[in-house]
Amino acid sequence: MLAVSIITFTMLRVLPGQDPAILMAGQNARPEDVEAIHKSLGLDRPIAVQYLEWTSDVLRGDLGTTYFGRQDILEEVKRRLPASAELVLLSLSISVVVGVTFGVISAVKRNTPIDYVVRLFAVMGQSVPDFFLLILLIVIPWTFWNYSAPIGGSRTLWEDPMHNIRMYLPPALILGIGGAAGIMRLQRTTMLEVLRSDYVRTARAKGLSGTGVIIRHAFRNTLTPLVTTIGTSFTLVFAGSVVAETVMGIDGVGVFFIQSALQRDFPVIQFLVLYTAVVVVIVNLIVDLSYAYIDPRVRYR
Amino acid sequence: MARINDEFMRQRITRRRLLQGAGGTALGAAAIATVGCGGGGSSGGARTPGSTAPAEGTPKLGGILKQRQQVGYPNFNPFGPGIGALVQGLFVGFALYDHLFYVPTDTGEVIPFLGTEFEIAEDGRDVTVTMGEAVFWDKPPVNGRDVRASDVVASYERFKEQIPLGFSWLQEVLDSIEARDERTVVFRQNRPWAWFFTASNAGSPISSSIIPQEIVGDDDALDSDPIGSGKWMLAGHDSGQNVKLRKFPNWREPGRPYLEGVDYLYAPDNTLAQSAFSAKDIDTITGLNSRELEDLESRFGDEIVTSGDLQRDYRCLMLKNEPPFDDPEVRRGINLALNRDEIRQVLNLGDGELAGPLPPAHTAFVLDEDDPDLQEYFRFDPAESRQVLEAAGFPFDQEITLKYSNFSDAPDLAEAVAQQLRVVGINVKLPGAEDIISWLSNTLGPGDFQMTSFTHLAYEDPSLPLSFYVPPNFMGYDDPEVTAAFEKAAATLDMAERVEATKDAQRVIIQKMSPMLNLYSAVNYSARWDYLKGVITGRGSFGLFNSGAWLDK
Amino acid sequence: MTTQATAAAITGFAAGDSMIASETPRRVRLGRLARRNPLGVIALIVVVAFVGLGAVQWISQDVFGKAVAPSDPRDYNASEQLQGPSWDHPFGTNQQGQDMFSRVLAGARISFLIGSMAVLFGFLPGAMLGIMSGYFQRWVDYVIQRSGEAWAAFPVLFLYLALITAFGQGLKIIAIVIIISGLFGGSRVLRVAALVTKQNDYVEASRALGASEMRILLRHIVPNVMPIIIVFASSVFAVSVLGEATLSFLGIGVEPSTPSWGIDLNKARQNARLYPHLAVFPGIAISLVVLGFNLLGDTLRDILDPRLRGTLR
Repeated sequence: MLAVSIITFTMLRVLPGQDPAILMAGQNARPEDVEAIHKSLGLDRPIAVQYLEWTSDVLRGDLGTTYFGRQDILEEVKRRLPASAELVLLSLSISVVVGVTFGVISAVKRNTPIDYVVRLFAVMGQSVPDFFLLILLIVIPWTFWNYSAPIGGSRTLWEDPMHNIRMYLPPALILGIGGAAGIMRLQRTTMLEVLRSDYVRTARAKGLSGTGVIIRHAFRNTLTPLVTTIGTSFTLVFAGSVVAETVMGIDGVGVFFIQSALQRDFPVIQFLVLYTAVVVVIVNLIVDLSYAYIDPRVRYR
Repeated sequence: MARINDEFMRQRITRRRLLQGAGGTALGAAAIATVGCGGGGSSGGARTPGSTAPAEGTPKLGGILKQRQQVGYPNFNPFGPGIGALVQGLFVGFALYDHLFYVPTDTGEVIPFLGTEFEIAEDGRDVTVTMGEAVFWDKPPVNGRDVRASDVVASYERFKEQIPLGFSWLQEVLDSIEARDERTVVFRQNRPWAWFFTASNAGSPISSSIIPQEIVGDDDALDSDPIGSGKWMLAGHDSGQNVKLRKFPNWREPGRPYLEGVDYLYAPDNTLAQSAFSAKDIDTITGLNSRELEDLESRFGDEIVTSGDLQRDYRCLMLKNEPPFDDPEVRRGINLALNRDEIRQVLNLGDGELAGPLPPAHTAFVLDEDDPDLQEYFRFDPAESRQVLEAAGFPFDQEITLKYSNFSDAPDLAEAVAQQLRVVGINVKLPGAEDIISWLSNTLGPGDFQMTSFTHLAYEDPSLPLSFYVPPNFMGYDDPEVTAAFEKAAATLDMAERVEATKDAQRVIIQKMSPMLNLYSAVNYSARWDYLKGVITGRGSFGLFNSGAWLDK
Repeated sequence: MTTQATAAAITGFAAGDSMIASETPRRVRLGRLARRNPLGVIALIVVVAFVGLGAVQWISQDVFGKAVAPSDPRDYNASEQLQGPSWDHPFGTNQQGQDMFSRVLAGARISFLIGSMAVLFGFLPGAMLGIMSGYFQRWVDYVIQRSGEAWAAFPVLFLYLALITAFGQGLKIIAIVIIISGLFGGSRVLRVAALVTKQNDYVEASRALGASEMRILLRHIVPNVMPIIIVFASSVFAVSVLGEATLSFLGIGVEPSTPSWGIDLNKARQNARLYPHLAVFPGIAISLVVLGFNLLGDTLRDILDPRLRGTLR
């Protein structure tokens, strides 16, 4: 993580790109103006010094401001985070619920029409691009019911529940069902393995009912690989959320980062690298901890 | 400068107005002249801008108008950073800050805002403005005090210091501005300037904003907590998106505005915005093409009120005055390769009028359709283009980059231009769209481009569109004859003579094939729900100062 | 995620050292497989058709400078703009008057290029690294797996955003990112597979006979893990096609005048209500190709995983 942050920091400052000072000074800027902006941004010092300063600022919670609006980056991300987080978590929950449910059904009803339909649906969900479905999500309700997805910013669930649900649920369904495909498929595979295992056969032989066996014995043993897949699903939903934010006009962190990349807003992109790393580390940590919780055999040294 | 916000950048003028334009402008100019000669004659403070048509009934008070916001403002500071400030500068200029006067495009008549009397000195250089009474919003540190002449002076001075966009009246013509007393401001110009009152100059929606002295130098306050004396107060926003404006109860015009406030709902995407209009989540929609308008009309019939207007903004291709484009013959070749009709068809389904050096909405000042120079400007001939370019030794093997922003249909424009230039064999590279704010600051501002295509803002008077050909400009273009022709028009106070001088300047620009090649102005359509009344249409950006809109529901 | 799911399903296979039992003639076996997996056959047809089309478009556009299509996908034809599907224009025309059928055909080039680059320059070297990592273990394993983890922890979209901030947009940057994301796609699974294959008796036997490490690697390990490589390559291809389309859709992908399904969909977004055909055809093209590769991967996995094979009768 340190390496990644040093590399991006150096890359953003050394590579051709643009000198932010010239951008900010504008046309007809005199060299001394540019110099002054360099000074004020601290760009006149060696890169190593700049990096150490940036690191110490970050550790103190100061992530700097955007180039063009002088907005506090941390505040801006804090403001936008709830929207993105809600979209991602909602999508992920839908993925897990849909994926696990249909994965189990598909395994239990193996080789029946239900199984085929579910599997076909899964592979479709994985193949039809989110952004294509999101376009339809705007156009179809508009055409038939003059309905529009809400615009004008996010509201939290307790501020305005209807607005919140209308804003997040439809795109989350699309992202969630797309993300469910992988979970479902894995769930089906592991479930099939477990169903063939000796202890399930034993439980059946002891006369336990079908559903009981599936839930009590079989399902529990599919949890560990499931958690791994949910972890990777997260990355997918995370990327999908950026597309959904763009299409549905949700002001989350994803659009902020895209806009900043197009604006060459270096402080934001520098932060983006850090942000991504933190999110990924947290997700991996949760996944690892879940292993320990689910499977008593896994204990952390 | 690119078209940035539907409401603030696109200024519309109806065809009817357009036809009357010539007469109107002359009348307006006469009014200014009268004031100048008469010395102290008032041009009448009693007129209310934006009076409502009586047929619409008695205005109801209150209610929140909901409109679309197409771009988020980085902050609310009209001073920057960089020329990206245009984006928020126009918004705060129209919405939050007051001005001394304004000149609607259609009449060319000076409408007094805070100013009540205007006096132009005999030599045409000093202009004295007497101010009426108004107060700022009741917020610390200003606390609702009177607006004074010193506030006007401080505001203009900071705008003058501001890094220039190019040729600018503030830097090039205005020598100084002084407060003679608490209610009198004197503008001292270094030469007579015929366009003084219009929007590009002392009456600009950005740089004539009156900002209280206490905060005019305080970027933190201007960024996020502005204080003005305009009819709307900034009541809330999400980092520049979803801006909420509320009525300023002590505004200089008692009883106005009728509305309680305006909510802007951020919707960068056209599809989403149109569906929001259909769902009545927003009350107005602009920037429609003819088929989208027909669609709305067939669905909602009488429930909506529609209009179609020739825009004052105009599309152009700007060339950097460096090799290979520093050769007028190369530029002539490029111009011959541009099929303006096709671009207009592709981007606006054919609705619009071709633009010479001045966009067509400047009516009286624009060259006649049958003017030989203008016809030559609009001529499209790819075969001849190729010949001209070859004769001029154009480097066909060299890759030429065409830069553009991601705002609205700017990518479509760039692609269309690139496509046409490729037809004659020019190796055009499109590097991908830049964000609008960084395109302004990184590409246009510093003149860092070989070619860039964009949609200019709507300008109220011919001086700004012509000033782009005069140094300093984005292209690094400096032609003494063009400059002289521009200066001559600006120094001609007599209206009829000025019209001729302006036409002459355009002819010189065409003959020199100056490196900004204008394409066309679009006709766009807009719609509003019929419960929204008292709207001013077809009066250019003047409608944005309207305080007479009301909701009948 | 695709890769993980496939991984879990397939690691089991590596334990089996025999390929499909070869008593019946090859043709008969293939026929039986096809009958048992009708979807797989369709997927195979789609994939082969797409790869063929993509290769033709690539050669014709990059070598001869002209797409193989009824009309030039870049040519404007303002007098025929925004038409619905007809005999002349089976997929209609867009606002530029370009023939959508030609654009959809020509758009196969970029998807094919990106997918192929991801597999050839990203996934295959990555797969080799994974195999070596599992085979040699010790420090090779450590270095490769650690660097793999570092990359795996980085959402590709954000890496891409950082890169375009520094270098500007372009096909090169997309290629770099897509190759990087392909690089470590299957390396973990292949590492395990190589590790397991290595334990087999015949590997020990040939080592005892004095075969070099290289020879063992190429003659025994690689052929044994080949099915896994194919399954993963198929899913890497699908993910890369989707990735390019997404970037182009967001307006941060390939040059805007390049025929690309993602770009066409982005443009269609603006008037999808009045002209749904503009969105539908490129949308179907992307979906179909990605579906083809995913289904093909699925089918192969089902066929190749011996434990699942038993259950699918």
